[in-house]
Amino acid sequence: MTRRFKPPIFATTKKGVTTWSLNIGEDEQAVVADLLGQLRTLLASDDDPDVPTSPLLDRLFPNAYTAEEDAEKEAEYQRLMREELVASRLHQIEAVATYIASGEEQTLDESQVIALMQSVNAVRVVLGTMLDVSDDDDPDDDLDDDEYEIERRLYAFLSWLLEWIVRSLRST
Amino acid sequence: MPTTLEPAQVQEPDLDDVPASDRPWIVLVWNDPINLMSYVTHVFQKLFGYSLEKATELMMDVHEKGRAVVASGSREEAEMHVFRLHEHTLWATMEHDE
Repeated sequence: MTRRFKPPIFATTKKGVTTWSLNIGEDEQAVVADLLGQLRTLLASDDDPDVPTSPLLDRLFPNAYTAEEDAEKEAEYQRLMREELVASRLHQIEAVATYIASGEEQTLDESQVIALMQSVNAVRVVLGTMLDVSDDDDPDDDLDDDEYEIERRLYAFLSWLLEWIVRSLRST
Repeated sequence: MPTTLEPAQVQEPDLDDVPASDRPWIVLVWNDPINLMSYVTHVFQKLFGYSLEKATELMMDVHEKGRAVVASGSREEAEMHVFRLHEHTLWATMEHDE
């Protein structure tokens, strides 16, 4: 091996300014963009009173209050904050989608990396909910003959990417 | 006198030192099988300014004991923490401190 492995995302600091480079191919970027588009659709359906809220979104919008006796505060919280949480997610997705759609090898700033981190994790959480991931899951389980093989591979891909995103933010 | 500088000490908010009446609400993070350990640690550092050691300790508490108290404060403060944790897709709730 003559070339050293370059991480899928890494930070570079020049003259005190840190920028990030996304080092994944066009195909992988298209996969991320496609998944974010699906999440955006799912989030938009949350706003439609005629469509029941998808159970896949449960983990994206947990209750704020632990105790049942705080149900009134919970209702108030959801009334004020749920929309804001949806807006925040859509904003982050938009930031990443715009970057990927630009198609150029430009660097990312910290806010874009954080948008990428939150969006990638939101998709992971939806996929993980769909796959009913548990602490006992063995990542080396045979994926063949699994009806969710594709989702499992996407989940693994996003976990790998997220791990490197966190590492790139830590290194600064 | 040591000739090298001591590493900067990060001021840890010590929950035990604050009177209970000033921190009526606690913010809990619950274990879930999806969020990565490194990610959870990073979010704790970023949102609460904890050192790597403190954030790792809290993350391990979440992982092993099922939950950890990560912050406390007034209802408004706690709601804001919960919101920011939810933005990061962590499973967080708040409750009145007994």
